[in-house]
Amino acid sequence: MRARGGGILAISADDLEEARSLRAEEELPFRVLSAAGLPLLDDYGLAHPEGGLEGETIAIPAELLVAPDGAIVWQHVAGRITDRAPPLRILAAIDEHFPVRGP
Amino acid sequence: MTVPPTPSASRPPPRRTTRIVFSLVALILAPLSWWWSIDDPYLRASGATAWMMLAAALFLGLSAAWRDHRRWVRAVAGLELLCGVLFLWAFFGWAVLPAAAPPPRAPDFTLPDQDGHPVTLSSELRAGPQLLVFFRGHW
Repeated sequence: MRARGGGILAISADDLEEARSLRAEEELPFRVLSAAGLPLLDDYGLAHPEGGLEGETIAIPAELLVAPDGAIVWQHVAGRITDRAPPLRILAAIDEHFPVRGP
Repeated sequence: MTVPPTPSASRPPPRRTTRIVFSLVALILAPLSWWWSIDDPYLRASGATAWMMLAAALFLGLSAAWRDHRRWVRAVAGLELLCGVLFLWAFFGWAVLPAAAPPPRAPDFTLPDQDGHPVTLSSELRAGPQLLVFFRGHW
């Protein structure tokens, strides 16, 4: 994504403290955003009410590729809690929609 | 003086200790195999290794208990059957998420990052495309 000027943003309903420790523990190279208590998950249609460990609303796992104009050009939404987009499929989608032009 | 009970059949029932022990090993390996393969997206999503181990456990356990009348063998086979039902329920019931459909355009947002700095999608998009990764939580 960096080669395309873009980036990766991870989003969950965790609070700031949890986001900070997660990023440090897993040594994630991208920013981890906190949507705790905000209607963002509803805006994206990705709210899972009472999905959390303590019955709180959490995100449905999903990967969305957003073009500079704001259009979602590719997406993968989990049908089961263990579902994740295979990294190779994400990379293929990035290559397809945002090819890096050679010199 | 006690009289030994007369076996109902002329031959004693076969003892299938090895088979029932192997079935228990497979039952224990079923969740472990899924855990070990959690970083493989296909195995993680399908639970293929866990399914195979569970199928092996059920086959060995039930076939062992079929003719072996010892109580503990039957109890183990029953436990394995229960685990199989629980696993089916967890996979096809409990773990299923409500249907979700993100909108065609990404709603703009400003959210704090891990250090509390606000991040706004529209200004990030000016730099280039963004991959948004929604995840359930830190656990």
